[in-house]
Amino acid sequence: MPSEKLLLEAYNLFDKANAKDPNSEKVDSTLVPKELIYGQRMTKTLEDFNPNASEALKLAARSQHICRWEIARDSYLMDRIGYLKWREDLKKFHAKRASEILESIGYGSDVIARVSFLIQKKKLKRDEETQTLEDVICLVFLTFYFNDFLEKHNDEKVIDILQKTWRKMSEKGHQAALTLSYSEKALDLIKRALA
Amino acid sequence: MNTKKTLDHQTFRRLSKIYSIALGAIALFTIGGQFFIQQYLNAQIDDSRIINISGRQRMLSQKLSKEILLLSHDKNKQSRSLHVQELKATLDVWKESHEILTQYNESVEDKDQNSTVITAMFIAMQPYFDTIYQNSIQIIDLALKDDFDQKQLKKHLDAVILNAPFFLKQMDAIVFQYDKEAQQKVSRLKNIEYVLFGLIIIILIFEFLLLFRPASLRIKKTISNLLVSRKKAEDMALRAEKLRKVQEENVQELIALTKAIDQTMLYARVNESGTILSLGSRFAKLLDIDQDSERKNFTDAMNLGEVQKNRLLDLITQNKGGVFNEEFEFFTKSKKKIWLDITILAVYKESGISERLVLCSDISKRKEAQNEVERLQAKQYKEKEELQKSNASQIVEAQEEERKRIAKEIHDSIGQMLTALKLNIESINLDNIEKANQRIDGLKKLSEDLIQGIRIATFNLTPPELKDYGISIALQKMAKELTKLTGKNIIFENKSNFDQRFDTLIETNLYRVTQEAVNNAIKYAESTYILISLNLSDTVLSIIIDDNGNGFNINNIPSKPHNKAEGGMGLFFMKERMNYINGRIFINSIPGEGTRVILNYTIPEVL
Repeated sequence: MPSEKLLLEAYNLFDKANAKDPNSEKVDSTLVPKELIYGQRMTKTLEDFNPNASEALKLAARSQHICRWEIARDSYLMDRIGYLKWREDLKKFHAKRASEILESIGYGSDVIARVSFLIQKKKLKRDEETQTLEDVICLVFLTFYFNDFLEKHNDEKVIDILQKTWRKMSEKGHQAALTLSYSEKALDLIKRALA
Repeated sequence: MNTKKTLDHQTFRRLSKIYSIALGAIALFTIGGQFFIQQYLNAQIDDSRIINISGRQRMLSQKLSKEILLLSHDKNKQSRSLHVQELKATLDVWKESHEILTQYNESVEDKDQNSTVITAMFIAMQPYFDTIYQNSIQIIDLALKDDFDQKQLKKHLDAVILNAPFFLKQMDAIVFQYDKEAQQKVSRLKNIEYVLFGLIIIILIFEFLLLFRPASLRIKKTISNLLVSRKKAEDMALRAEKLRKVQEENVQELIALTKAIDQTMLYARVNESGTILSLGSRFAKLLDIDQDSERKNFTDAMNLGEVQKNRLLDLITQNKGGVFNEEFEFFTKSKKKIWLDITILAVYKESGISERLVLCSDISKRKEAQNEVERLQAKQYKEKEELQKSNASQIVEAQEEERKRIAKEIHDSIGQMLTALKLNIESINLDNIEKANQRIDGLKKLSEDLIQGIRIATFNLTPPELKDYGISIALQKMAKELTKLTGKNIIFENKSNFDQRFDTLIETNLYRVTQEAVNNAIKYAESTYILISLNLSDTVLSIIIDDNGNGFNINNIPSKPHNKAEGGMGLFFMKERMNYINGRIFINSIPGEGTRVILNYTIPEVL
């Protein structure tokens, strides 16, 4: 396959895999597979945040949650240790699944290794691209999922999550987050979290 | 200011330099020569005056002698006084001229070798001059006295007359010497002129060789280069003109094409982030947006769902040179559902900026037709599935019926015959030999019937020839056996000597359908004559079963019997079997005349 077509073919395959997500989300009054729309939103946000991102970073962003439903949260203990174990296993799972897809269409081992590295968020705060990926994840959360999140949780929980999110972001990510449009309530909680 | 001089400036400067040097040299030399010649000519002007004076001295010396002679012979005092005055005037001029010549000689003596000779000649002449002059003075003094003394006069007159020829002779020599010197000077001037002329010629030759010729060659080369350059420039201009014309034509074609595309095709030009650069009028109309709505993102204008919108955005932003094509479904502003086949090409410009050309075709009708086909196929599949279920159930029923029939046949015929055989064997009484023999004869007959019954039953189940030799031999055997068994005239005819083998399933079904047709002819139609014809065309194998039986009204046979009592099961199975092998069956029957059944099977191509 010509190299200029690889990226789009990879996106296509990631989307096909994510389109099988049994969990759906209502978008414009239509139910769409949850991870499908999440992957696409990651790409869109990355393009806005860093238009010159490397191909590995683009691939990592799109496949960051690939087939996430296959490892259910309730298959782990419902405590913090279980949560952390679940998150750790998910990262490896996403990296493995993305690598398999990339390998099937002829990506080189160096790109695959880099995508795997980024998906597993190695060297956060030290690796520039890992940090960019983390910024994009946080921006996607704030742009698309924050309003629903704050409806489902009490203010303390939301503020706690916002503070944790903020800590993971870079200065550039902070600047980008501050340019997003928020609802009145969301803005109030953000102000309280950052105070 | 541009320091690099142009070619015309360089050439002009070089030529100016050469002409300045050449003309300067000639001018300098000419001025120098002229100065020299003028100096020389000035000397020549004095020469002619001196020669003239010298010549006049000769004349004056003779005039002096003549006047003295006249004076000496004049007795009249008054006229003598006149002679004295004339003599005195002549003597003054003569003396003055002599002094001029003497001074002249002294002035040129140092310069000229020849003048030295003249000076010597003057020195030699000086005594004659002095004698003549002194005596003439004496004569004038004597003549002015009242007592004119002839003796005294004669003495002086003789002295004058005596010296005058010597003076004249010497003066002649001097005049000739002057003339000779003047000629020598003219001759020298002539030579100088020749030398100057020669030098000018040499200078001109040198200038020609060292200045003008190289300059001329250089100019020639420059002009030649200029001509070549001009030719090249003209060629280039010609080519450029041709290219311009071609380009203009291309532009015109492109304009026409763009116009045609604009009005007929759904197209848009967008930048690499999807912002619309231009939009075809037809597309703008379809999207119900202003054609000049620049700066709007194409994916927003398309009114797609978020998933499709993101996908389209990927195809635009991540397109690095390929051609991508996908189908998108969206609703127009008028809520009309449309399917578009969208092709996206990346176009790279020389400036490095890339654009995306978005070409769409409305495939709604095709999609609708495709969806309709899929719907019909699904429906057909469902119906077929239901039919197959129904058929399977009927086949199971038929199999059960067949088992019952075979069981009944065995029970009714073979079973009864075996029972009769058993009873007959048991009833044999060997004591009564005659009756026993009759019984044994009966047993033989019963055994023969039994064997025939078993043969019919087994033959109806599976003929071994079908598996071993194929459909042609099996049908031939069937006709032969049935003729024997039923006593009816059953004929097999293989017109094309067909003996090709097919898959067992095909052969079995063809055999069974033919068997059913023949059985129907025997069993229901009470035919006495049955013809089985086997014929092969290019790709189709035809089996035709004709009989002369009762025939039937085909409209009375249900296409799908619901139960056995309704009748028509045999025909139904025949059709099913033929459908199963993708064959076709045609039944034509006329009550009272007979029936024709045609089985067609298309032979698959062997690759």
